[in-house]
Amino acid sequence: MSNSNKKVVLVAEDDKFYSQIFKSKLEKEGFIVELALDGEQTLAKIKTRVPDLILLDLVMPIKDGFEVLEAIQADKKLQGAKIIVISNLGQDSDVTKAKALGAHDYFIKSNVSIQEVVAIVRKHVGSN
Amino acid sequence: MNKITSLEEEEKLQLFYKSFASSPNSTVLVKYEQGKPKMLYVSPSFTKLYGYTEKEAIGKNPNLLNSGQQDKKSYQFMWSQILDPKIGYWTGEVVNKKKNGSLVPVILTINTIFDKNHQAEYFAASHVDITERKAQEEKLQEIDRMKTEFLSVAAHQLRTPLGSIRWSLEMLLEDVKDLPKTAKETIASIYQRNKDLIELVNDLLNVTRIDQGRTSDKPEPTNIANVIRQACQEMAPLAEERKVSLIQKLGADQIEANLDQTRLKQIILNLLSNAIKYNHLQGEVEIGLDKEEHNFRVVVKDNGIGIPERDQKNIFDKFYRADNARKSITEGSGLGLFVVKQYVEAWGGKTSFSSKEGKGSNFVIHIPLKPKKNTLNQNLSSQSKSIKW
Repeated sequence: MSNSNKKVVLVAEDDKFYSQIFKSKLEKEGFIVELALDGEQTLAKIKTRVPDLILLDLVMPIKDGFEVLEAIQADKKLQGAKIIVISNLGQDSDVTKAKALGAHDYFIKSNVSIQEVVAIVRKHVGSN
Repeated sequence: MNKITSLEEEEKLQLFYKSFASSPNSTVLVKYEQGKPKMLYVSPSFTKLYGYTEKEAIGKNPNLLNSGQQDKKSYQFMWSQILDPKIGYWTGEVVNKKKNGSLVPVILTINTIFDKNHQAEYFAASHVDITERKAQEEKLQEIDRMKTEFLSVAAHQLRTPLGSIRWSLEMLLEDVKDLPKTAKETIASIYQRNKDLIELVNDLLNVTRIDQGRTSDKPEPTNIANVIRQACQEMAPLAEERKVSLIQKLGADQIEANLDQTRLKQIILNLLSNAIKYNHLQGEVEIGLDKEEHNFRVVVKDNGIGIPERDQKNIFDKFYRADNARKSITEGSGLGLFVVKQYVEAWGGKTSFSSKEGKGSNFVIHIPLKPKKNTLNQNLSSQSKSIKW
């Protein structure tokens, strides 16, 4: 399959440990993976190319995940990707706020396996 | 004879009047005429609290103390209570204004004296200054807010390394194909222990939320059998590890109820995990589902180690673990059944069990098909009723 048919997943994650696992697992499953290490980088990457799906952490430097969601909500040009929040924050207020700001789904990182993350990504963008 | 009696009565009245007047609470007697209240008497502690002299207060409408912060509905409710001859009483928190313009929170109690035609004639009111108590309450609220924030941060900080350990081990097992069997087993057991830790963090957070009445309750139409099947699927690896067979008897497959699925799944997972963990090798766990008139019933039956009689009255207590459970498996938070009971009861349901040491346990939960909404939160908010004038 050519690269152009592959789905693009943008991983917004400041913890390098996590972002490397995301990258190696998702690439192995046939996705193109872009990494962003803070909120601002995330928005810059979306501006260059809106991905098929964004895996969004909430606690990030410079701009946090909520600010990223707000920026996307305010700018039509940034919209179009499925946004899945995957964070270790898990208060009900965080979940409600993220969903109100346009997140399609919300998962607590430590409560899902990486295999489940792949299944979640597939569910939202289909297989490659 | 009559004369003596009336004298005695008068003396009693005088005494009563004196005690009313000299009460450390600010007392006021209000005359109610043609829909208008007028202060007839104010006690020395009233003048001290509000800064008005007797002369300035008497003859005035008690709304002299109105701070302008009143919530109209509560105010109307108060009037409806004190004018109703069947009730004739109201008490609550209000914020009043002193002569110098400063505000003072008080507990106001109003008692109505009715005339022969059941019309309100006088109001006897007492004002208790609760400035200090309010300050304490605010301090406690601040501490509570800090505790919540701390927990949220602590949970995040704990989950971050635990989650990355989980994923790394998963990748390790997947990537390194030629690991010796013992290494694989070791990694698998580290994986399981790490998962136990993650669950402990989740349990602690759940309990804190229950304590604070902050548990979420998002009801949605739910097929109960499906939730049970999901829970069984999640428990399958644990059952396999312990060589316990998990039997589903979901006779009533089509039961639907409007409830929070995450909570229901947590209830079932907690019951199943106990039944599997506190069991013998080759043991059996059976989960059943039935419909009752207004409830559905879930039964989790095992032929495991059972609960000793002396522990039975405490097993729903927070952090409590039965003696034989502690000996059988050293880890375990003692929070599972506490969470089950709190969740089930918050919906207006019931939890019961029977158990015999060495033979097994039988846990039964009855949950209404139309569960009460979020009683945990309601309990909390009902403690802080107050009105502002």
